[in-house]
Amino acid sequence: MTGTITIDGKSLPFVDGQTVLGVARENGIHIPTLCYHRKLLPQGRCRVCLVSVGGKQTSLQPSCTLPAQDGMVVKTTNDEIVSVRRSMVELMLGNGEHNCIACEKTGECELQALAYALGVERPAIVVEEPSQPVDASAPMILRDMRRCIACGRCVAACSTTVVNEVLSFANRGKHVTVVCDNDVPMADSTCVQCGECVQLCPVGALLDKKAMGKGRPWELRKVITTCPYCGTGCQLVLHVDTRANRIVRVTGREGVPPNDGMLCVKGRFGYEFPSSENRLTSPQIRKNGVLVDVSWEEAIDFTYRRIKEIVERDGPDVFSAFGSGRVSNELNYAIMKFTRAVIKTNNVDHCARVCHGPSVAGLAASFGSGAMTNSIQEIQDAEVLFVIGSNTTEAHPVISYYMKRAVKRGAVLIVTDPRRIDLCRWATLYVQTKPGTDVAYLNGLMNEIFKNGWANEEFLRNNTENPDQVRKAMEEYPIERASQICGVPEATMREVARILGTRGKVCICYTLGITEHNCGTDNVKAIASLQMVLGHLGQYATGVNPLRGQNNVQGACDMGALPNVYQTYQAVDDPGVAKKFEAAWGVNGLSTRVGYKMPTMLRKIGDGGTKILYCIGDNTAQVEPNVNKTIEELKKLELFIVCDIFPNMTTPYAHVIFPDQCWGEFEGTYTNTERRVSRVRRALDPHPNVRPQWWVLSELAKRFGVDLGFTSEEAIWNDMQRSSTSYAGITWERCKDVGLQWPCPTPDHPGTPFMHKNGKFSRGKGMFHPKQWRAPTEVPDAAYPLWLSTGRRLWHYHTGTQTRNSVGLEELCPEELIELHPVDAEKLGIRTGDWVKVSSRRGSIDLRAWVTERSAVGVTWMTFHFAEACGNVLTIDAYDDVTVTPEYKCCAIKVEKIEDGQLRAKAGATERQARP
Amino acid sequence: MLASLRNRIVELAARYPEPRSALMPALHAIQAAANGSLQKTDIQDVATLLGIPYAHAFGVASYYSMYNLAPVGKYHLQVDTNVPGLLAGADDIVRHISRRLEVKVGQTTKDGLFTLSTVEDLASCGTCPVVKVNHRYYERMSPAKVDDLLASLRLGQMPEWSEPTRFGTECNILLRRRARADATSIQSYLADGGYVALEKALAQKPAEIATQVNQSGLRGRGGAGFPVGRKWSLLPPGTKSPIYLICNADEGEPGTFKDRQIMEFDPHLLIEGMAIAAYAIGAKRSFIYVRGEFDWIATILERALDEARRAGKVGHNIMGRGFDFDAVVHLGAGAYICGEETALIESLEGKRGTPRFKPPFPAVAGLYGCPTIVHNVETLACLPFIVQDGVEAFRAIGTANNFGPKIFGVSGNVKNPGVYEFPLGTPLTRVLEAAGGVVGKLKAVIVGGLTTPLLTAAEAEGLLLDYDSCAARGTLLGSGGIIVMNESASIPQIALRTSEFHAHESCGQCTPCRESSRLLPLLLRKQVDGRGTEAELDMVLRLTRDLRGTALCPGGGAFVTPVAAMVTKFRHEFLSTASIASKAATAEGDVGVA
Repeated sequence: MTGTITIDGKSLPFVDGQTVLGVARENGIHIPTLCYHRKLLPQGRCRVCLVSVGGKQTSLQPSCTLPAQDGMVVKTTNDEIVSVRRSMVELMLGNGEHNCIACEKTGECELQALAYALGVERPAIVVEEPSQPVDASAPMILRDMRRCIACGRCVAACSTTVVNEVLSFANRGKHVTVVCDNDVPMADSTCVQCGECVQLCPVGALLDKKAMGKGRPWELRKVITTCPYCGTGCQLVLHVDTRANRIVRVTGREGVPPNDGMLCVKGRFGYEFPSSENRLTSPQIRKNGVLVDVSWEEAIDFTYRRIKEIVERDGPDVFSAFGSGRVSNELNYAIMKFTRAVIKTNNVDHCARVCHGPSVAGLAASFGSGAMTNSIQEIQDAEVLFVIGSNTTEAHPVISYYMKRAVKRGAVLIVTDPRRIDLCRWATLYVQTKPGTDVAYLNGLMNEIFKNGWANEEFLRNNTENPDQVRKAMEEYPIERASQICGVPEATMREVARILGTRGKVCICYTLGITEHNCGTDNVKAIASLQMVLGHLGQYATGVNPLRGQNNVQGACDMGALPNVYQTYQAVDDPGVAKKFEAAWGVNGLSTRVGYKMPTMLRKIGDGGTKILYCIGDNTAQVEPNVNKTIEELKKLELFIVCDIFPNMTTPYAHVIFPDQCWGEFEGTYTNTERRVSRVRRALDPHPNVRPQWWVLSELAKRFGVDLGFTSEEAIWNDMQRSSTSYAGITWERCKDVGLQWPCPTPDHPGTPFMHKNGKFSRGKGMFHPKQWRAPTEVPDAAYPLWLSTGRRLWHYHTGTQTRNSVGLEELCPEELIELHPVDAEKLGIRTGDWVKVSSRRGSIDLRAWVTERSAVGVTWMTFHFAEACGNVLTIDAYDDVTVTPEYKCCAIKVEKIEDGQLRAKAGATERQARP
Repeated sequence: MLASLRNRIVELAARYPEPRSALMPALHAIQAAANGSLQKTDIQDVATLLGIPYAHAFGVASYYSMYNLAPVGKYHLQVDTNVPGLLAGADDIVRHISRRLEVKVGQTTKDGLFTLSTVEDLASCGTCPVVKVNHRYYERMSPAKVDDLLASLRLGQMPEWSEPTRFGTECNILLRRRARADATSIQSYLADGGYVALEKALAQKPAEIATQVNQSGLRGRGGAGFPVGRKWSLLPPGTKSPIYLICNADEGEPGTFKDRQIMEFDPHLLIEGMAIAAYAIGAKRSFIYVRGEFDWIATILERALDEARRAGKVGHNIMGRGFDFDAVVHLGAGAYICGEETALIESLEGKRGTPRFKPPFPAVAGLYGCPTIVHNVETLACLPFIVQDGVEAFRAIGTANNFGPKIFGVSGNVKNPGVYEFPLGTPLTRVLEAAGGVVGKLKAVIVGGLTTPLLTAAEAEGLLLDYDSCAARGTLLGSGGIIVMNESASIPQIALRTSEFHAHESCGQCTPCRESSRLLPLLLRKQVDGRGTEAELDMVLRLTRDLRGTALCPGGGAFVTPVAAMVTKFRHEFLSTASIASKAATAEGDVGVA
């Protein structure tokens, strides 16, 4: 239904469901508001948006809640309205302490702005009442209830946008206040410090604590960019003090995908690392066994000489290079091009190998394209969400907000994981599987779906190549058998299958819990099969969605930092492609032999097959499984070049260190998990002695007599884009404001929010690859009786170099903890906080224990964020048989108590992600 | 938490379409099991059990005045000091208890035996002063009776005193069975021709019943007088969502104590009325939202529902007509504003009982977002008569556009406070006569409960008690709660008490209501204490003006309109105290007008 309303004499059309405020805003008519926010449901609390409605007989109505009705006549201002608005502002100013001189919010405060616009100078009445105490307990957020106007935005934000559900109104009438949990200080609450409440607060009641006193809004330069943490690719505004050359605050960009202003604790508050004193700031080379500072000229000359000597002696394939999921597209392209065009080998790979390699391989084999099929924001509209092997609230917090929003909108959420992760709080059904049993679980579900006639036969017939093959293969996995393997009760499995088969369109999301297994690619293929059986592909809010872990791990793959493809997946072993690139790059003799994968590169160090490793942003020693073995390998390299922003576990083994420019210092692009290419911007003046790595590569290439054509990040992008396929329409200019999603083959293509539209797969028809379940490589036994699984914590990222060099995150999570189920802990006499020794067949570490029911009985868990207690000392160097992705999720360990102890973090902090 | 309590809460959750609705009953259960107050850990446990965020559960527990977040004594003495109580000497009772126990209001005796509180209206206006001890009402209290009560409580005995409300009925419809000894039993109800109307209704089509109710002209008895038939017509035709019927038994308007007469003494009349309404609108599930203080009435209703279930009058396939009807009795927890239908719905959903903005109206999107019809007890109790005796019989009672019987509660300065059933349109004087007449000389009268503007004696002259006549005199019939004030009554004192009621009961959601509820008592206190200024009196009027028509719900305006009327109509009385103040120092004040 549509109609027309008259606002201030203007006749304006509207569509059903629009409010008067909505129509006014759409037509540029200003109505002041305080409690209203675009992202929230209208609340009607503040009463400053009152307008006069009616013809002869008028009444005051709040425009934010009032639905537009045909023929309605509205006046947005007259004497009465202004008088009422002034009264509202005077009343608000009269309650609490509104001292604009001292308030951090000055210049951005909506109450201040409204008082100014209405000419209100002071409150009508001042009452001396005891003021409420300021809650400064939390590291990132300050709550000053003296400035609260009870508009409810923070409560609504916490409940409905990020769905963390920590804030609520408490008490009644004039005593109304906002509390955390059951009225505890924020630091003791389950608040995850995402800061959405701060972002939406119209006044100075919720503040970014670290930014206080660091500059008024008009003094700070605003730079829009992309978040340097997980693969969500949130859009940020950096607030920069240009004189101090520091980022002093970060806010989320409202109204822009994928995050619509929402952020997590890392994205919003983990911004100090570029200005850390610990940065690498000088090139170094090893002289007489010691790394010493040298000039750039010397470092580059030395590196050139050594590469030349070794490659001339042993051939190009002893050279290997690592790109990185944490550096820009431009740098990944640069190292890829250098390796191929200058050294003439395809030995380039990056850390997707150790995370989502199986997604790329498994989905490419099934659908023809190995990326997230749908978009992040679509998740909130899913009907059934099937989340497996993804600790979303910690690893992809902003994506988890959309999942929780889906639940609030009525979606069914099924969470499958060996651990009772925080997302389970919102789950309709939590399914606990044994580690490493996903194929059996998924096959069992398919068996049940086929058996009950819930398979989408039309989709199978029209859109897949070999439906009968999968139908037959799944017969071997009746629920009874599957249940026995994966440990899920038969009734639960049947319920899951029933929901998947009958409750509407299914959207599948998964992460490393699926890929980091010896059967990672099998797992991915099983997920792809399940979704093809259900047929929810190529439509909005459906699909198979691997959530990529790092800011640019999708981009690093897309850029061809892989041993088998150039950018946008053009195969190196296709002579036509090689010819194309020889012409494009102006070089000869590009190798058509597929290069080594990352673990192969490392393994070949042992037999002399790898002599040079050019490592950009990887911290190999800490991230590869079996740290002790990795270090032994790195030590044997003839030339180990490390480019990074911080000294880390890997730098001590380097022969050359090139300090890299940090996020915030360079221009470029990242491609997020939903295939969206977004710009990254220079906000800070780079350290004077730090150079972009593409410049280093360019200088090296020059010495080899090759002109890479790299004069700027934009020039690199243009060089890459020219010879790409799915990126061919994504120009530097087009993604300067809002990112574009590939495939985007032409400059007028709008980008692709969801792929395989109408079930038309990139490869034509979908291909089933039915798989048999196999056990993990190492299973618990008498000597090493417990499972160890690994993952990520909310508060830290990768090897901690960024998060541990930012203020406050370390306070929230200062140490690694091994998570143990109470049953196991009791057997071992371990309580939370005790020091324990954890050992596997590969090594051992000492750390404190956290006894928690989020672990299953017999399953322990930790991360690799902390160099001093790194889970990868324990993990097994066993690999997926297709992509050689390490089996980080399963190995066997033993735990012994050393002595009593106490956690370093404040009570409650660790438990924020383990609520019952 | 004890396993038995845990099981009880799980059971409670099963009674509702959504488990969250069990939050309030669960908190009641825990408080009852834990010496009358709630621990934060208990609230957290309930939240976990019902799948509610901790903060939301705490938000609810801290919203309702009957949940005690601080420990209370073994006997929690709660004195109703609202206006009818004030007029009956409730302040003397408070002072007396305070002296006897050597505690101030809000304090607990050292031995932990007694806590003294003042509370807002307990719907006991005809029998006040009233002292509520834990869950029991002790009515018509005097200092001497307080001493007896305290003595008994010290011995660990809750006395079984009964002080029934005086009543009279001219219509013999709503209070017809009030005098019957075993009126609450289904046998007696059936013997008096009960549930015949329901049977008659079930023999007709729902639309036919709706037509009759529409033709009867029945208007809602909760206060607004909205035509029942028109309310039903707002239901979306052919809706696929469930339709809910809610009986609003959150009787909390000061001056009003009529619904409790029906529920306490003739519960089956209400149940039958609900069943008829549910049948007419197609509701499968119904709720009776009873104010938290009426927990013994909830017990009576539950017992009556049980009897009716056993008699086949409630439940599945009633009287073999293929119609299902049942009701859940839901206890509030002390929040006047939950009498507003959208706040009631929020509360029933297990949330803070704050009003929703309208539209959408409950008939379109109410309980759990489904079409919902909310009716006052008295309204529903009229339905059996309409179905049984017919539209014409109903329209024969009352005046044009104001048909049917009405229970008036009369309190304040009359000889026999009580409830009196008369046809709508009966002159005020007749009702006051029924209540034994005014004690002393009439100064002012409130006819629709405390949130309606008072009338001076002159303005009340010749007033007919119906919706339209009252509107013509600039007031509202409201709930028919008549509060009579004689010359000894201090209007500034009553204005202050009214604003304190506002301060206690404002939900705090919208700016003007919250902020004026904070300021008005402070300003009026100064007037009463003789410290106020004329400028401050004008500020009172400005605050009341700014709130009228600007609040989120009708409550905001309703709280302050009577205060404005008091200040305007009796300005001289305020100024006479204010003039005292002008001589006294004003600088000491805690309030300053810019």
